[in-house]
Amino acid sequence: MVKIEDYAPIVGEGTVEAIREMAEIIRGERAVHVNATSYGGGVAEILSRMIPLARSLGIDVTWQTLKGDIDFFKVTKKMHNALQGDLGTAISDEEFAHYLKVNAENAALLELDSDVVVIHDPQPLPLVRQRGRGKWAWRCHIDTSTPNEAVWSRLDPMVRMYDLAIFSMERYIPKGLAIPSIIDYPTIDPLSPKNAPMKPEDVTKVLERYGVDPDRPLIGQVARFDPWKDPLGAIDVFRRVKSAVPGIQLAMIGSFARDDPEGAEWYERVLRYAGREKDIFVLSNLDGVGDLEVNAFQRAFSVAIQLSKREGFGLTVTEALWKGVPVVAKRAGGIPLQVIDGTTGFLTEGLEDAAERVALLLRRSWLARELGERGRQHVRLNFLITKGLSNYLRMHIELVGKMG
Amino acid sequence: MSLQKFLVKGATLEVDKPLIKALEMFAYGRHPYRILVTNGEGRVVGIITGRRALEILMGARGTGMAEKRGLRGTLEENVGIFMDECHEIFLEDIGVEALLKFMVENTIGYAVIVDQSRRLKGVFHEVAVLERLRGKRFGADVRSFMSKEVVFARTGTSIEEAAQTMVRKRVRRLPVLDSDGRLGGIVTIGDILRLILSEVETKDGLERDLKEISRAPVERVSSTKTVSTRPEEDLGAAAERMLDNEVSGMPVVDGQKRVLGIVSRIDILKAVASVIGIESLKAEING
Repeated sequence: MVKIEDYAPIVGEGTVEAIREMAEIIRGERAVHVNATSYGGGVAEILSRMIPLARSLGIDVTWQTLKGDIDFFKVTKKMHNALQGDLGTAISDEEFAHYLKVNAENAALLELDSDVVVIHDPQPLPLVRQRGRGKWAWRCHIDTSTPNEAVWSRLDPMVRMYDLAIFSMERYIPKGLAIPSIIDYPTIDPLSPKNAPMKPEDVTKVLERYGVDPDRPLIGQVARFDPWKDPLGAIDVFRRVKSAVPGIQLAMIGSFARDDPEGAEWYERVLRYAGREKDIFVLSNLDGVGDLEVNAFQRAFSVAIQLSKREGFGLTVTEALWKGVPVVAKRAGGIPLQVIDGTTGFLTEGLEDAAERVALLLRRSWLARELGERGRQHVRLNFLITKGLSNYLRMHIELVGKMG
Repeated sequence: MSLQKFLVKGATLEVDKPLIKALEMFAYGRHPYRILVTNGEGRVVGIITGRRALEILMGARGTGMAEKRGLRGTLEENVGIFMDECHEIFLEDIGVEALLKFMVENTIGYAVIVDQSRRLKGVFHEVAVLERLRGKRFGADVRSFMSKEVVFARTGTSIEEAAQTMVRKRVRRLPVLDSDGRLGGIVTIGDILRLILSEVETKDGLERDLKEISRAPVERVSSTKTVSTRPEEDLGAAAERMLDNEVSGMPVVDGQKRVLGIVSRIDILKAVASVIGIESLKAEING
């Protein structure tokens, strides 16, 4: 059972004490978080760590997920793409009606009677139509800076029914948003199975289990199999680097989330694009790659790459930096907040440039070490779960008012 | 290039001080826009901005606190309950070039510098960088780098409406336009906070008074001595104008005082970096 005091050696006793004091103010208050899926993707990961930690502080917080059919998740995936700026996506009246219907069915099943209700992302957004008592906040984890207006205008009337909206970055706030909003940078949990320290021999065992040679350099991208993450670009970078560093290996690690019907299709595309190249390892949860394995792979990377064209924030970058691994990445989402060019990694424009940077870091291991160490410090100071938890507690206090 | 010579002290407030102390700092003296919140050991634990203070007073993040505690009660609460987490913290061995890149990439005008124990060592601020560019001209004008989407208020708009607009649109200042669409004044978050504080200090029954004063037209608090620039002004000259007048942003107007855009200090810094490159920027501020 995770306890707040376990974080004191990492973030300091003062931070832990301040969290305890805030939690005391709302001890016994009820809160519920609702999202689309309990597994896969950054939101489920954040909640899986944040909820038990909040509960350990005496807050009666629960986490509930939607039940939906494949058609529902196809619509919400389209919605996700449209909100991220895909102008070619259209949602038919029939699809939208199904989206509302599934949410209405869920509203009857979920326990939403709470002091604070936090709804994550667009999938459960319409639950607010059945809102009862309590304050409702919509936590949008995706980049909605330039949404497909036709789709946004269908969601906007429901967004207006919330008390507060929360975005990951200032620029993600849609123009004309009619309700108050706050910014909350996502964070990672340094004690989770995905980020906790590992013994070198355990890292080696994981690599060998998947046929990766621990004695040759490994680069990798951890991301869903999704066009926004440009997995084919990652393979292109690998091929360019390979001509300079013949022994190089590439790990492409993703997961299949229940709310991501495109994932399987893109996984197949990635496999086809990798072809018979024996030094490319395309792995997912279906191969038994869970948090521990991702942790091991990230620790084994000489360089992490993140070629996403769009990102909510880029927590896989945070994870790699926390493990002291320099990151070569494109300027998407919150990546420039984390990857400071030439200091914690490199920001790149195109694949050629990315390949050159990766090759440079492979040649100069001293530079990779230096950047990796700075990256770890940057995450320690700015992007750990204690900040996310503090933000959440303050939001709750202000929404419901201080007790006593 | 030593980071030390760029650092400024930065406004600080201890975490257990009441919110009204922050309000006083925003309103008086050198009225900073952001205050770093520290614990008893001088460690940075958060940050509070003028906009955040205004959000609290407007009940913009929820009215629960104001409903239960009243505005006066809210102002007596510890600032630690209201501050935001600070995500721009760097160790003191970070280089100036790294900080410049971080600020320019993310349109962030400051970075907080701490030691290994998170004790505050100083603030690396856009002003310190722009000060070192005094006298420089870059052969690029404001027009190409200003923001053309200007959030503004009309003459006669109520203070409350102006405050709501600043909170919702997340801007620090509003040009106040007259009926012909010409620049008549500027209202800032600081102007509104000063007004509220003066009411807190002089009146009882604050809630009622706040409602009354916030119905007054924005001209009651806006400044008519406006600092503005022209689209053809060089980036260097525009930076100096903001430094000389101690403003963080200004409207861009034409010969008839019609507002064409708005430009901030960090916009200028980003623009200079894009025109001459980070390497040259570093050399310029070092020279």
